Amino acid sequence: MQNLKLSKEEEAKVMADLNKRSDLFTFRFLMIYSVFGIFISFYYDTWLIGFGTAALALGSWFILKALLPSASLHRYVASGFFGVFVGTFIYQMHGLFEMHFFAFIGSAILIVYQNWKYQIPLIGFVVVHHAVFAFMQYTGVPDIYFTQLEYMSLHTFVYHAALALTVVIVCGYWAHHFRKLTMDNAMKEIALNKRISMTQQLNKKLELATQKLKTQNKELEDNKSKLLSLTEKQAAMYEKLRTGGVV
Amino acid sequence: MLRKIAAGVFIASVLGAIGAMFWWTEIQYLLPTPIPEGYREVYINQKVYPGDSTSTELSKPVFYHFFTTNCPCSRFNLTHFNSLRRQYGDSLEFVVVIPAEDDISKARPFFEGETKIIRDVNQEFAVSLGVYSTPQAVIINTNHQLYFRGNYNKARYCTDPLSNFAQMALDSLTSGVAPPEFGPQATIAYGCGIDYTLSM
Repeated sequence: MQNLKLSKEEEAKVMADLNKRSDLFTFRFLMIYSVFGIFISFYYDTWLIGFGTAALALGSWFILKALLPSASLHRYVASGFFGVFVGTFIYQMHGLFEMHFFAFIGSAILIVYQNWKYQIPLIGFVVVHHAVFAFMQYTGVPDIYFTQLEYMSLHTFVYHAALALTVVIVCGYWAHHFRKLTMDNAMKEIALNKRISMTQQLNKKLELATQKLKTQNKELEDNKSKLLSLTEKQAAMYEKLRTGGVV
Repeated sequence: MLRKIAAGVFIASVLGAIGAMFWWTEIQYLLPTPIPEGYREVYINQKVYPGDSTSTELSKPVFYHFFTTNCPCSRFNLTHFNSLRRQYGDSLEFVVVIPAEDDISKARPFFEGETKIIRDVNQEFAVSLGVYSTPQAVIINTNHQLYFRGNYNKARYCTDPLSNFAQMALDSLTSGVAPPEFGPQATIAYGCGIDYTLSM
């Protein structure tokens, strides 16, 4: 069983089933993120960002799925939007630190696809977002880091970035690991199915042989009965002859 | 192939829309506000007479808060400004100044209680106090001298307590000491520019 390997078609079939389930899961979270973005617009009247991001995220999902149904593009774009939402939530809540945690939630959600590559757009956007802020700020007034995003020293920022990267790497690793487990399972299932089908064929043959044996047995029983009745008749005749001779 | 091109164009548009959204609401305000043509610097301790104020001594120092209703940056520090007004409202007069092109009725809901709001017709207050951006804080003492003009905080959301410049200036003023010097982090203005052409 260890030497077995899935063909590309088999692998694609396994992933297609998984992606279908994962798409539903991810879309639900995109909806939750969108509704949350609209909800927090109440705080500081950030309706344009709230509705704009929700419309772009959900619109992109449907349009890209309709344009390229068999491609994974909508998944990469959804991953990117999990990053965009982090940026908009931070803005909408005026730098509320807890909004950064949405990057971690997004990264965990994407594990469902069991493909580490889907982590890239998320972390990519978060890096670009932070880098643009840092660069623009530094261009304006040297020696001020990230203060327009929220107050953060360079030292704090290094920890911030390292932790975010660690979460994404861990989630990417788990996605990859789960994919391996899924493929192993699929491989075992296929091998098991082959064995079951072989056993079923053998069972069928055995059934036919049993049937044949039963028929032959019946014939044998019939012959035996006939032989017995003949023997009984012979024995009766013999007895008759014997007793007749004695008399 | 046509579908792939359409998807590519669509993604480019989405990226453009996201970029525009971030630019319009955030990124453009990361750089210092450009200094408008015709701007004249007003220095600390310089005598200033904004509006129709006379040279007679003021009963209280005045704290001017330059605010624009449609400027995202102006909204970032509203909580901070309202808390300053509550804390120092007895010892200073707090005045919100909105630019000529803005509307007092639109600004009113952003401020607590009976905060005085004035519309800066011809941007006279901005010009005479040397302000070209919102949000900005200006304090003048009872002798009509400019005591402080600058940012509220080096963090846009006023989250760094060690750089609450306006609050520190208020503390210095109420303690009766000389105007503090905070450096460029306090004095280089960020936010939405005030239209100086209306003053000409």
